[in-house]
This record gives sequence, C-alpha cells and structure tokens, in this order.
Amino acid sequence: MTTIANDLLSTEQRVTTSVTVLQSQPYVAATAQGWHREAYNDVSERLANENGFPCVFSKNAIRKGLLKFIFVEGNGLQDMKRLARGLMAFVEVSSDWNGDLNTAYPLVVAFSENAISARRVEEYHAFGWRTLQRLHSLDNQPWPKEVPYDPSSTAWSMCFSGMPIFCNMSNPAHQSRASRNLGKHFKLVINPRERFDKVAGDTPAGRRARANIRDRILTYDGQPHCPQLGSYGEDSLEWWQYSLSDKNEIRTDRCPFKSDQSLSTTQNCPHAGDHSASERAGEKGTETT
Amino acid sequence: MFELIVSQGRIADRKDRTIEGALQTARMLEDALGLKGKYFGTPEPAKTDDWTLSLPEAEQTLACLQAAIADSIEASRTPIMVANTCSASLASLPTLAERYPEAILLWVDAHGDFNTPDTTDSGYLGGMVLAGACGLWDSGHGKGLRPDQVILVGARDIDAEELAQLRRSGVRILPPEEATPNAVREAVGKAPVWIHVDWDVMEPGHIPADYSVPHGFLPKQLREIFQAIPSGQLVGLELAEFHAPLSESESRAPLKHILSIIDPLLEPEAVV
Repeated sequence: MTTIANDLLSTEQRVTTSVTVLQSQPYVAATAQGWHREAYNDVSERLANENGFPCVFSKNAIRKGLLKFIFVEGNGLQDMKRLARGLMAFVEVSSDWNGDLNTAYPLVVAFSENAISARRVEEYHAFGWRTLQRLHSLDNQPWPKEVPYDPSSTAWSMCFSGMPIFCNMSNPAHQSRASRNLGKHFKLVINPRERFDKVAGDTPAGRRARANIRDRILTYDGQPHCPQLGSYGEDSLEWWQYSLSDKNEIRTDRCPFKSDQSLSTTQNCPHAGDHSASERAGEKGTETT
Repeated sequence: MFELIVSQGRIADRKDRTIEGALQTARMLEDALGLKGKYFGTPEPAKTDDWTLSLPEAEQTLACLQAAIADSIEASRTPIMVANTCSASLASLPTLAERYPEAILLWVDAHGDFNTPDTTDSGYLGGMVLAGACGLWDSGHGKGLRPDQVILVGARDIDAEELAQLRRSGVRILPPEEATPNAVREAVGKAPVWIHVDWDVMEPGHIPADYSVPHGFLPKQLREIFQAIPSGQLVGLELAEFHAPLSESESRAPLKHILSIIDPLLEPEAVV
C-alpha cells in the first residue's frame, strides 16, 4: 500500500486546503477527520481487519490501498452535483483501466448522517435508489446503447457517464446480512460492471471466485447467500443485488429506478410521482437557472 | 528559445529501456520543436548497484549535463533536459539554484526522492536526488537548492525516514488530491519555474515508468496543471524515467501523451 503519513501532511507543509472530490485511500487514511475518519475506519476495520469478510476482491483492494472515496455531506442539490462530479472522475479513471488488478479501484461513497434519515434497511435502500435517480438526472452522457433501460431486464445495470456500474448499498440497519453493513454510515460501493464480469464472470476462474465468495458469505452472515445473488445477464435481476434484504426472502418488489427513456415511455410506474421524480424535475430546472 | 539536452549514459539505471525512453522522447521533441538535441553519455546495461558505485560511474555524464545546462542558461535559453533517470537532476538542480535563486522547483514525481545515505533502504541514487541538491548529503555535483523552493507535486509514496527529512526541511507537498491547477498557480506565484517530471507520477497504464504506483494523474490532469503555469515563467524543464516499450509502435501512445501533457509549456517563452 502506498503511504502518505499524517505528519507529512502537517499544516505547515500543506500548500492548499482545496482537494478533489475523488480521493485515494492513502490520502484519506492520512488526512480524514471527523465523520470521514469514522467512515474510513469502519470500512477499514471490516475489510482489512476481519479475516472473514466475504468479498476477497475488496479485501485485496484495501490491503493494497486501492480504494477511492467520495464523502457526501448532505442531501441538497449541490451535494448531488458534487457527488456527480466525483463519480465522473471515477468513471474517467476507470475507463482508462489498464487491466491490472493492482489499479482496479473500487469506489466507496460515504454519506454523512446529516444526509439521510433512516432506521430500517428498506429506508436506507429507498434513499440509495433516490440518490441513483438523482445522479441519473444529473448525468449528461447518454445511456449506453447495449444496456436496457428497464431494471426488470436481467441485462440492466445502473449507468453513469456512459459506464455500466454495480452499486452495492451498505447500511447500518443490516443485522443479519453483516456483509452489507460497513459501519454507521450509509455507503454505496461502486465498481465498473465490466470489471466485475472480468474477475467473477462466467468463466471457470470467475465461477470459482463467486463460489468462494458465497461460501464466505455463509460463514460471515450466518445464513446462505441471498437467493437474489445471481450472474449478471443470466438468472437474476441486477437491481435486487444492489439492495439486498436483510434476511433471505422471496422478492416481488419493483425497482424504483427509472431511466430517462423508461420515464418517457412508462405511464404507471409505481414511483414516477414520488420524491425522486419531483426532485429530478426540480434539479433540471435549477440547473438551467 | 528552448535547448534540448539529452542523457544517454547510465545514471544509476536499474532497469533497461529508460535510456531508450529518453532517446525516443528527445527525437519526438526534436520533431515537435524543430531543433537538434545535444546528447551526452554512452548507453550501458542497467544493473542494481548501490549509490556509492553508480554515482562515480555516472560522473562524466553528470558533469557534461551540468555544463550543458549552465551553457544553455548562460545563452538565455530554456533548457529541456530529457533523462533516463531522475538521478540526472543531481547535475541540473545545483545549476538551477545558482542561476535562478528565486525559482520554484516543481518536482512532479510519485516519490519524494529525499533520502540520504543514512536513510536510504534501497541504496538507489534516484531516491536521493532532491536531498543532494538541497545539501543534505554531498553528491560531488553541487548543492544550493533551498527546500523552501521545492514543491512536490503528485507525491504519494514516501518512505518513513524520508518523510521525517521532508518535514524537518520544510519542503511543500501537493499530493494528487491537492494538486489542482489553482493550487499550483498559487504556489508558484510570480517566481521563475523549473519543472521536473518523473513519469511515475502518472496513473499506471498511460506512460510506462519503472516505479509507478496507483492513484496518479490522468494525462489531462497534468496537462491542466501545466496550463495553469503562467506563460513566460518557465525557465527549465526536465523529463525523466519513460520506460520505452519493446517496440516503437507501442511507444506511440505514451509519447503522444507526453507531448500532449507538456504542450502547454512549449509555447514560445518570455524572459522572466
């Protein structure tokens, strides 16, 4: 892991206090304070210090100092715009990925407790989906042609800035599914979809990797892996895997997320008139003023 | 007017292909700038040796580079030194310190290069360059650079002992997260600017370098930083550690990146 020690960045040596939205793990480890430090420590303790955390790729990433971080202070439009800028930067660096796992950066988006008011898993998930919807409304790049608009398609994926991404929603309300609890702050763990497919896709090595992770989930969570965990494009809905229920159960719910295209063609979607849709309209209006 | 000064002698190289990288970079700049470079040293194979051996071995190449840099400044030109390793700066930086005592040095590098014989674990000369130029140890090629003239840009992989030295000396640091164009512009102010680039400062995968580490600059980020440096303040440029791929066709993309990144610095300069 590359290191920038805390005292290297002591006040007298820091040239500026202006920092980029997207921050590297070594930088966060050296400089984070307040709730940023808490959020970082929570992630670090779970991924690095607990041998049993099921996702071996995440464990590898934190061991090598590869995580990227974005900290979201609030729930306002400026917070979302700032998050969108950071996510664009993440997409940019991920687009130029050289194929080496040593530069495969997962992104942790940590939200301040001021940004969210939730107690139950479902409430956190609703916030997570609203956030994705708002990011979509701020996205100035077209939805990739090869990705369906409709989350009920097995080939659907969240996309941002033209890149399909996988968004894991972790929150402190998870009791049974500990693998989706990365501490007291709500977090989105985001990876480029393509990279997921490369390391755990439908190849012998990928199948072994997935089997290993699911065995580890059984140990870590004390329950078998969620029945909605499947293989992208084959046997499961992707969006279910973003926001797993706390206990294994049959799910019949519908995805709150609507792409621009599906919004223009769907008259009766269950969430079209809710908070996310009205925010979306408001954000676009504000953008032009 | 620019003057191109090229190192072709081994200066503590531990891996092959950086001498070739300097050659390819120089040829590209000759074409781009329409000038002829001055080449110094004779290529030799890389080897892993201690600084106590590699420094005397590089004596002649370093002396030639230093004389060429001094002559270039004397002639009111802006030297561009293209080097295989950062160790070549043992020659250039004391001359910078002498001729431009008010200059700011932007050391654009993933590493601090601030070790001394007492702190180096690897014995690699390239990791001791800045400390030598600042007089923390005697390289035999001069000193005089003040630590407060130095700003590390993009540094993110620094040894513990080296860190302590940097802290004691007061070298300023802009990690990648803080190295915004505005921050760099503010840091240089109106001073003459000398820029050293080790390509390991980049995000891996764009410009091959032997000691690259994660979380570096994308090409457009570094270009934007250089765009922020006011025209006319540049008094010297150093490019080092491009590890040339085995085929010239594979070099095209990284060379294109290099040219694109430094292009904002290559506008006709004004005298500071």
